[in-house]
Amino acid sequence: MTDSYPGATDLLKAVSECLQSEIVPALDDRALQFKMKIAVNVLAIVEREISRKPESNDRDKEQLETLLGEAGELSQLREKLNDKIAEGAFDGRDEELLASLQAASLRQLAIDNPNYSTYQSLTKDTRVL
Amino acid sequence: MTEGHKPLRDLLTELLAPALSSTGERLAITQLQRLTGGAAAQTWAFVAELESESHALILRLGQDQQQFGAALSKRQEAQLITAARHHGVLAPEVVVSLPEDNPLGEGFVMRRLAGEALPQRILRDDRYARARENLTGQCADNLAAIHSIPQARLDNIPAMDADTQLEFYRSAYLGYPLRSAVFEYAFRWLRQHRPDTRDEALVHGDFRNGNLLVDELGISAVLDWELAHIGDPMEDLGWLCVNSWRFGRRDKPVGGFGQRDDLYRAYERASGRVVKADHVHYWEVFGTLKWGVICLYQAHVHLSGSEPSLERAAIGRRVSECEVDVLSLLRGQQP
Repeated sequence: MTDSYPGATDLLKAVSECLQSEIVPALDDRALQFKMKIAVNVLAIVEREISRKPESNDRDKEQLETLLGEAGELSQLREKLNDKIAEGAFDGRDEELLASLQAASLRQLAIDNPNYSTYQSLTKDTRVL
Repeated sequence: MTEGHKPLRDLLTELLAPALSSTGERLAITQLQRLTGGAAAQTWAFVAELESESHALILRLGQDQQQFGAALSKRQEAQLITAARHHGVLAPEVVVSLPEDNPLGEGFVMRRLAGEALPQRILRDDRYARARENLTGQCADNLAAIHSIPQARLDNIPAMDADTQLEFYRSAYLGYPLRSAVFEYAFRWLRQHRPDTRDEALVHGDFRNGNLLVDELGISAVLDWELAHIGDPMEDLGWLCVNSWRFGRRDKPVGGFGQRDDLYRAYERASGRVVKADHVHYWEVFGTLKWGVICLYQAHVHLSGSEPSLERAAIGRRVSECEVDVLSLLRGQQP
C-alpha cells in the first residue's frame, strides 16, 4: 500500500530534463528542435496542473458560490455562471464579476503559462491569486 | 533540394516561363523548399533560373481544409495585393496567379523580398534597432494607404462589420466544448458596445507583428492578406495592439515596438481620419477574444483528429492568456 514513487511530477521532470539536455542538442533539424521545445513546454504545463489544479478548483468553487449565492458541484456552478453572464444577470455587478473572473483566469494562467507578460505584470506587486 | 517535388517543379516551369521571359529562354526551378506558413496557406520558396538572370520567388497555395473564417481565395488575394501595391502599400509583387483547374489548386507566385518576419527577432536583435524606431510610423502609413484604396477597385471583397464577425466567432465558439465565463462576458460586452462606424474601408484583417516583413530600416512588405474585408478601419489598429502580438513587450502596445499615441497621431496625419481611443479599444477587446476563439479552434482541429499536431494541442492552452488580457483591457489595466 505505497504511494506512487517517484511521483508523477518527478517523472515528468525527468522526461523534460532528458529531452532538453540530451535529445535537443542531438537534433540538427530546426523544425524538430522547435517541436521539442513545445513538447517540453507542454510537459511543464502538465506538471503545474498536477500540483496546482486541485487548490485552484477549490478556490473556483468558493468564488462561484459567492457570486451565485448558492452551493453546488463545481461543473454545475461553472455552467450556471456562464448562462447567467450570457443572460445579463450580472449587469450592474460588473466590477465584482470581473475581479472574480480575473482571479480565476490568473490561477489557470499560473498553470498554462506563468511567464506570460500580463501574468507577470499583474502578479508582480500584489498577490492577486 | 533540387531533386524531389518533380510535378510541382514541372508545373511552375510551365507557368513561369512565359511570365518571366518574353524570349522563350529555358527556365529551371531550383532550391524548392516548403516554408512553415500560416494555417490557411502553404508557402514554398524557390528560385526560377533563366539563362540571363534568376528570380527568388514564393509560391502561396490555398489550403481549403481547416481554413478558419471567411478567408479570400488565393485569386482574390493576389488581385488585392496587386491593387494595394499600386496604391502605395508596401505589398509583395505578384508575378503570376495559378490558372483555374491546375493540379495544385488555387495559388499565386510572388517575388521573395529580403527581411525578417519572426517577431521575436524583430523585437530583440540589435540588427533591427533602427527598424523598431521606424515601425510605428510605417505601420500608420501603410494602414492609412490600405484604408484609402477605393472600394470600386476591390472586387468581391466581403463586407464584415462588428455584428457579422461577432456572430461568426460566437457560433464557432459554441461549437467547441469549452465554455469560458470571460468569453461569455466579452461577447456580451462587444454586442453592447458596438462602435458607430460611418467610414468603412478596406481592412487588412491580420495586420500585426508576425505578418510584417522587416529589414534594417523597417517594413519591407505587409504580408498575409487572406483575411482582408470591408469593415471598420479601426479594427486594424486594435488588432495591431493585441497583447499576444507584443511578444512579451507589454509596455509597448503597438506590436511590442511602439506607443499608442504615436500610432494614432501618425495614422491621423497620414489618413486624415480621426482616431478615437475607445473605438480602437473596442477592436482590441474584439481581437483578443477572436484570438482566444482561434486558439480553441486550433485545439479542436487537433482533438477532432482531422489534423492532429502538438502545436495545435498546445495552442489550446493559450485561452487563459486571452482571458486575462480581455479582463485587464476591460478593467483598464492594459498599457
